[in-house]
Amino acid sequence: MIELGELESHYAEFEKRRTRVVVISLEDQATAKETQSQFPHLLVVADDQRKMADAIEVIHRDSNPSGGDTTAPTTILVDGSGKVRWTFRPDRYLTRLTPEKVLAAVDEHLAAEKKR
Amino acid sequence: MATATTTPVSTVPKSKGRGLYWLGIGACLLGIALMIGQYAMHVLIVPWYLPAFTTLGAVLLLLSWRQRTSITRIVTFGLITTLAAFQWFFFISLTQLPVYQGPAQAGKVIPAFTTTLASGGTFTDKTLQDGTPTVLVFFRGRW
Repeated sequence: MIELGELESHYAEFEKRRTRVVVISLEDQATAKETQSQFPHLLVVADDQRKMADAIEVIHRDSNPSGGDTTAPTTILVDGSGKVRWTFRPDRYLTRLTPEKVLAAVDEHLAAEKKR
Repeated sequence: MATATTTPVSTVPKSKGRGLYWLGIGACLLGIALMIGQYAMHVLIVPWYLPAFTTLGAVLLLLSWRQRTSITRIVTFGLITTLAAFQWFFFISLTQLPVYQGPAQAGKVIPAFTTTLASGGTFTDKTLQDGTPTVLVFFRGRW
């Protein structure tokens, strides 16, 4: 949750770039609602049916400490036409991108969108 | 005629190697303290220094044991060595993620999906075509 807190605290920077931040996990809607209330500037997806995670192939099998699967930490930049511009996955799940690095990637890969 | 039994007495002073013993313990605690500080500062990187400090602690405890043998030093060395081995195993093997080979590759259109927002609304691949650039962040969960 540190990662979401860091993204939330930089929401103004994302807004400046007219970019939304969508965060997705396999948790149910009740849990996702809690997350949404904690991080009001992020758009929280409750993908407990795995429809999005399966389509994008980000399931990390047997990685939930309480049993079952989770999504592997992955960051994907999508432009306004739905085209993927950049995908990042750390080599270890303890590593995350800092908001500064995400913003740098937005500036680099979604620059054309920003200028629109 | 009475015979006297003698118990061999160690001639090594108890304090010998004590400094190394406490340095070893200190190295382990320093690694843990640094890791707590790292997470308190919201820095999300792999704390490789943790097993490194624990290993350093084990080496110092071994040196301390070589200077003077005692049950305490042997047990502490065993515990710290086991902890260091577990930490290396955890960081090297258990934290690895598979390389992403899915369909969301640069230049490709995001695959079709329909899922649900926390608010109850629908979120689909079409939502991502509304002109607004998006950062999608998959995270593990709330624990």
